[in-house]
Amino acid sequence: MIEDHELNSWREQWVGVAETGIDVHRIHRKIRHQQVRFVVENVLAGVVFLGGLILALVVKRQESQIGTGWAAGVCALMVLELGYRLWLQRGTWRANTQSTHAFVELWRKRIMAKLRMILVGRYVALGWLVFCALLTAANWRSIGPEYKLHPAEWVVPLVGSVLLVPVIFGWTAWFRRHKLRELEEVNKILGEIDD
Amino acid sequence: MSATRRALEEQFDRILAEHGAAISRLASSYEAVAGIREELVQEIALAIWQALPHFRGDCSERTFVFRIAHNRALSHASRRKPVHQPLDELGEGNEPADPGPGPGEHLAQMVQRSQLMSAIQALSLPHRQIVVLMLEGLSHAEMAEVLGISENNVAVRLNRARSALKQTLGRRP
Repeated sequence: MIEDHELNSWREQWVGVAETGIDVHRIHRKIRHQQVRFVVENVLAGVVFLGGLILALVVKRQESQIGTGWAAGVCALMVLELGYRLWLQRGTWRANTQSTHAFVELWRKRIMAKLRMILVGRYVALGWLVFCALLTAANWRSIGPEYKLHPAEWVVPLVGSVLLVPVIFGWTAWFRRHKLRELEEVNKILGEIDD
Repeated sequence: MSATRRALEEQFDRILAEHGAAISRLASSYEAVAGIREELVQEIALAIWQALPHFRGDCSERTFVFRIAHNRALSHASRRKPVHQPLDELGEGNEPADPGPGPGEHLAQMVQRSQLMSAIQALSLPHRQIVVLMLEGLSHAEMAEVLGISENNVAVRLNRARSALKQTLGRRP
């Protein structure tokens, strides 16, 4: 067998390279924090989901079509959100345990999914506003007199809804730019790996 | 604490004891700044902990650890611009595990180690990955499993990476 002196010398140097050492106690502390955070996040998500359903039930009890419409809208949004979360994570569980190539491919897929989500999110936001406007128009007979009696109560949510559009578009534009930069980086890595 | 959890913790502690030094060296090849490197090591250890319950033994434990370590380090590298370790930063936090015999020889060894690390950090990502795996003594089959490429590709890439490393080391003073 031929001795690879160059490799042996590199290995000798490599093994002697400084080690920062692993602080096991700190890692266990982090693990505990992470577990607490995981539980809190799930409890919060559950509370938001249940809250949404309760809100839907409460508004459904109003004696007008608008209540039913709101309830249906809120439920649809919740299902959409849940479905999106599951869809986003499809095939990407335990990404870290994959080979480097598979990991980078999954990384790219997740960015693409998020970019699509941004696009869909914009349409959903616009769709939601159109839906609310149509619902209001369809129920104007019952809303009209109430609006005339208490205009302030109606103007605030209306202005809020309209202002929400530029906020959503601004945030999605920033998020899209950020994701596009990440995509560029991942494509570069993938290109280097495939080379 | 359940028996499963205790067994997992024992396995995790054993993995850190066995592969901790390799993880630390791997982190050094991706991150030159000591404080951030330590964070990266912690991040890798956490990722191993999270993945450990799903480890079914379909690859060796070493391959499993290196896959996770490289993937975490890759994500880390994409977030940060590379900082190469300057040769004059030999002292603090960079003490070798074995100081060696005389002070002159000790210094020469430190310079060599630092040059090697600096050269590895300067390599392109695929070359750096394969060089680290080579220096850690993984077989071609194990490297192929970690990187997700064929053994033939491993041989080709390894050849290129060694040439690149030699060239980089040759350029250094």
